[in-house]
Amino acid sequence: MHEIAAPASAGGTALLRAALAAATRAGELCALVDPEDSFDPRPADIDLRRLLWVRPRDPSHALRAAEIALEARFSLVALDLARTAPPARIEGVHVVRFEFLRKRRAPGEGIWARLARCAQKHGGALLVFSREPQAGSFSSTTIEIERDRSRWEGSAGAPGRLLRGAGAVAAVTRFRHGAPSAPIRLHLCWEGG
Amino acid sequence: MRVACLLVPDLSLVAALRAAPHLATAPLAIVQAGRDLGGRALVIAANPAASCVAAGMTLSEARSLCPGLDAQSESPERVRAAAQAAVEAACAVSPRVEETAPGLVHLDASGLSSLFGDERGIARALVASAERVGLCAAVGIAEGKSVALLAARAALADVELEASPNGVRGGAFRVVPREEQAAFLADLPLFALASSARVPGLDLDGDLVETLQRFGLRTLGEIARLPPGPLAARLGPGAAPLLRIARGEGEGTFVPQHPPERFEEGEELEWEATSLEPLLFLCKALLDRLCARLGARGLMARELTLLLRLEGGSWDARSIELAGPSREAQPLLQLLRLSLEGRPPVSGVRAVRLCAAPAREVLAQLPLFGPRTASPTQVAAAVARLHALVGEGRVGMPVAPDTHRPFAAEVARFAPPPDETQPRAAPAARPAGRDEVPLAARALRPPREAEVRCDARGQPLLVIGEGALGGRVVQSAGPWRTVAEWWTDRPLALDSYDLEIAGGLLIRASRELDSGAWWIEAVYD
Repeated sequence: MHEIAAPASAGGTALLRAALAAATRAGELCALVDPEDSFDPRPADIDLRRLLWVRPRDPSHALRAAEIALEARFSLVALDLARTAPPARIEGVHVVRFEFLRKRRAPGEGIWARLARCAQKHGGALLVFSREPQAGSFSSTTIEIERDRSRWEGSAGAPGRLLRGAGAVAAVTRFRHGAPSAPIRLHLCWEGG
Repeated sequence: MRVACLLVPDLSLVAALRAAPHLATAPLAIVQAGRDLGGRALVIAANPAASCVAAGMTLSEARSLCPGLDAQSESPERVRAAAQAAVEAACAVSPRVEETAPGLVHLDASGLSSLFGDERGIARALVASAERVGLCAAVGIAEGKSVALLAARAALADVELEASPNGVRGGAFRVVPREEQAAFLADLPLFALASSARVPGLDLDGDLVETLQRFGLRTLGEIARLPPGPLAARLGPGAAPLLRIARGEGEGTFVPQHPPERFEEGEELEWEATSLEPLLFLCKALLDRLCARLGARGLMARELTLLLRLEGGSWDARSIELAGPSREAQPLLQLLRLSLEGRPPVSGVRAVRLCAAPAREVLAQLPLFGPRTASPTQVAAAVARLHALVGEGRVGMPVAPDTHRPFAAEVARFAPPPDETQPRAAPAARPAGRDEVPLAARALRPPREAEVRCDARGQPLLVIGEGALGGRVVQSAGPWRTVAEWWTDRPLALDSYDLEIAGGLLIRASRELDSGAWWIEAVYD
């Protein structure tokens, strides 16, 4: 089990997609558990025929879905728990939300232990992406990413100005079989869309 | 031609025991369908534990002879499913099968020795195949359909009904080699030809058999020795088929039929089910039997149809298309639960029928080197389980639909291509010193509404959105205009911008041209 922790616009999704692209292009079957329903199938980097996209409505279902995919021996299971925006409101319905803190707390260590054991037993890789590290010592590798400056082409306010990409600084903060890495500078290039 | 015959004795009794195997050892009688279990209902069949009860007795007679007798009404749904299961059991052994009557199946036994060894092996495979679908069967193999049926009826004496997890077992077989056929027929008593309620017969007139017995003829061997002319003069047109059977010359042509395209299991309720739990309890039993039948044929369900017969006699039909073929009862039950909870039946349910459209199980060669990967069966089962967990339309292969709408996505049926036989190409090496990753967009579905303040030139200055999706705009690019789908009810006309919010968040926002409303469609990540 490996983990990516990154704030929004720091390149966590880009890294997750790169892992899925590499695995599917190598002929492996992959699963993406995406409770926020945020996957964009338009870029052609991933071989979509080998990707199973699961969109659970509930985070607890997301963890169970990842477990089912690992048990079915998918080579790479990506669990995208990163939250970008608050849940959408349903128009015309007045929502009264009660906060039950015990129910809303992050999944406990037990679930990460179970998922790590499941991945090991069935020979699959589980890649968890979230805004903060969650799996703790159950993760074999934890990569943390920070935002850097964005890159724009053209002068401000002029026509033809384009977003060219963004910079990020990544570091392996936890690696079970070695020492943490030094910070690595990543270039996130926007290829249009 | 060597023909095998699979005969399920007392089909209505075996069908009832298939649904409730624990009753195999208790005295049980099956009475006519559609009658209440009052004293005047006629007994159709009884199990060996109620040996003193015979077919044709009234229930009160039967209960006076066997005080602890349990009685059940014959269920046409169960009988229909058991008869289908018998055909499938035969189809699992030979592709050339003919269903002569419910519970009586003939199959072409020639050419099967390479699969099952000698004819005893074929007969054993047929008995085992019937047991896999919860049936106890007598099997006969001989030359021609009628002699094979007589051999199966001879094997009935060795059948012992026993409970099994799927239903009942304890079948028996009798193989009549070609050279011993004359001797086998010569010793057979004439009453073996007569039809009875217990087993279907050879369509011979019961009066004819009685007349022969009055002539002093007791066995088939005695009839075979008679000259055909005088026999026809005395017995009329019925003499010719009788003589052909007695001489083992075969009666009836073997006409192979297509195997069934739908697998069905059904059950009738003694009272109306008005709540969900009893219905699901019943569906679980039906699914277990259906999955066992599919498994016996190496098939999986690609679509389920649930038919409920309601109080007034009308049918409530609902079809569940599975995201992937499966024969795991638990996820299929979960899908049935979701369907029943979503649209409960309008009145009480009197009968349930579950039909599965089969798909062939795809088997893959496991790799000799390297880790074991997902087999197609495992993948299909996992997709079905995920479908049951997350609901309809939320699992499958992602597809970009043919539209100009930004970040539109759909799911299609997940059907990964088979593994390449060529060695997989190594991923292209990245140029040294360049750690470039394509920037990705996280779509917001549905897009979140925002208030955007712009300067005099229309360039966004401030985004007021939900949560972190707001702030002062520090960098911007755009607009890019999209005008499309004007020929539909939902025309698309918007200006899109790439914005950097103070703090570093990169977003894609769009302004609708007709209403002027702003939407945040994606976050670059």
